[in-house]
Amino acid sequence: MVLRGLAGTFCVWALGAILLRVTLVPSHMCPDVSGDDLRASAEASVAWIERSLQPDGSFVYEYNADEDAYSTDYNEVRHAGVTMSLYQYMAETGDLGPLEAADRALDRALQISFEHDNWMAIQNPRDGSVQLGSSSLLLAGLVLRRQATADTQYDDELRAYARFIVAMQRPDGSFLNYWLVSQGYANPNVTSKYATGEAFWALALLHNMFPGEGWDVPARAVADYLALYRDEEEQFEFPPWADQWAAYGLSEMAEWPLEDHHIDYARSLAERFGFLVRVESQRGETWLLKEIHGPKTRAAGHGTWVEGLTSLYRLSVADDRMADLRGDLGDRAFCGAGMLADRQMTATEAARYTEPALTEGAWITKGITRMDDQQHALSGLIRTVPIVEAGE
Amino acid sequence: MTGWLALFVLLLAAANPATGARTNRTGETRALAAGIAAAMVAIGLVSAAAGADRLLDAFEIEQETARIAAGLVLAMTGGQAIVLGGPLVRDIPRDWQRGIYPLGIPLAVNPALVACAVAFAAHPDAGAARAATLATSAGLATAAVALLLPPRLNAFADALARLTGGLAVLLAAAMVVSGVRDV
Repeated sequence: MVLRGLAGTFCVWALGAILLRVTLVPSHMCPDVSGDDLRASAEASVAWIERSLQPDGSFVYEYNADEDAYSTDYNEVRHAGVTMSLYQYMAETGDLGPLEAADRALDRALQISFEHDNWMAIQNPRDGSVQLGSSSLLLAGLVLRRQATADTQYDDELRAYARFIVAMQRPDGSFLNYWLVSQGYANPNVTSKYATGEAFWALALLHNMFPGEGWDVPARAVADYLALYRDEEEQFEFPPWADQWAAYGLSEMAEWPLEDHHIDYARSLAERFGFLVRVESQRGETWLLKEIHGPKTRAAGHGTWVEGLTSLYRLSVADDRMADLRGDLGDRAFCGAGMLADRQMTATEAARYTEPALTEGAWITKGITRMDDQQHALSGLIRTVPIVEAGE
Repeated sequence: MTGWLALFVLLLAAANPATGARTNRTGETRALAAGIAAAMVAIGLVSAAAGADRLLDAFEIEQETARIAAGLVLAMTGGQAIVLGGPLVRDIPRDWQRGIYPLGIPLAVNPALVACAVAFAAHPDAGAARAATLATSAGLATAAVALLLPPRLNAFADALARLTGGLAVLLAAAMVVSGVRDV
């Protein structure tokens, strides 16, 4: 009677455990990589971006490796983002190898910029629109370029883009997303969940570059808006919005210093990025895992989580109020970056495609790679290297 | 949830000691059955807590994910307690052997208590010693109910077990949220 009861109980337990394992609790797969592996992966990403650079200074926007087809779309925010990532690589590593490519992309952005009053902003040559995000990311790129090269030749442009950003700011610290060229004012009805954080980071970087010029005032205003109101204003269903640009900005503000509500926000971002990486690490190729956990996230999304984690890690090093999260932030960044490196297309894999030059070093999802896949992965990878090398 | 008192309440809800009343019988083997169950609790839960880190490493599970999984198990056993009054048991022996089954397993040492012991043993803010001590105490409470509760109070114990199941479901939700929100 006892044995029968125990056997029945253990069978039910075992069945439950197996069911749990194959459905909700599969292994976390965090590839064991070294700092050199991550650096090599970042370099391969830089090489892809350089190879994709076109004679007019644009990049290959999107390439379908399965069909050997190019997209005719282009996105100026992503152009500025990819350009910024090259300067970021240089600022992080001291390797100025990609400077020529980055400067060609920068020249294109400068050529299509629109000037008004005392500011300038990138204008989309296709539809004439003037969007905040592209100018913010270009400004961030220019600041990083200056950090990397100490070259001051773009200081006037850098401030002109910053004045455009400030012109787009509303009294509550948030930003409008489009300047209406024909009307001569900003569209009062359109904001962007991306552009606010991008503008925040750019202004925070700029203040750290030129501390006496007052760029901290709009930066603090947007930091408050992001920390206290943005998720509600934008009606995000599961706040906080996983905004790596906000994390970048907060880490730039680490020495200002941050107020407690900024730290609360930073901690909530850390929780969100950590969870996203944990979930991603449980995704696999089997049918069941795909059904339950979803397909693997494209690098343009996955990379942003690693960027966010590395920024918050840096904040945790600088601010004791975040110190208790440092180890976990380092672990998650390492895991996220390891997965990125593991999923990158190698030369051997790329050789199977029609155009290996546009597949090697890329992250391909459903046969397609887009330029911001390489941008975000590159940024995440190169900023994780110091964490790995510090032994966290 | 990792402080001594909060964790004890959670583990007590996972143990659901009132379910121990399902095996209580008057007679001379009552103390022996409770003693056997207590020994199984001590061995089972201390081992689970002590081996938690190695177990999670072996299965490549982060402690936050283990907490979410333990929360799900707790929710299921809590739901079962609400509906059935506790784990499904039948053919209860009348002699000391009921200390092994069902009092030892699955009443005193149940999947929710084991899962929570493992999850909190691996939690850096709780640790193996605290999780082992509190989980064992909670499990012993089930054996104590089987030993001390007069059979005439069985109906009361059944109601209490169902209420505790409700509490377990609430705490399970908090565990899942806490696991999700951890970095």
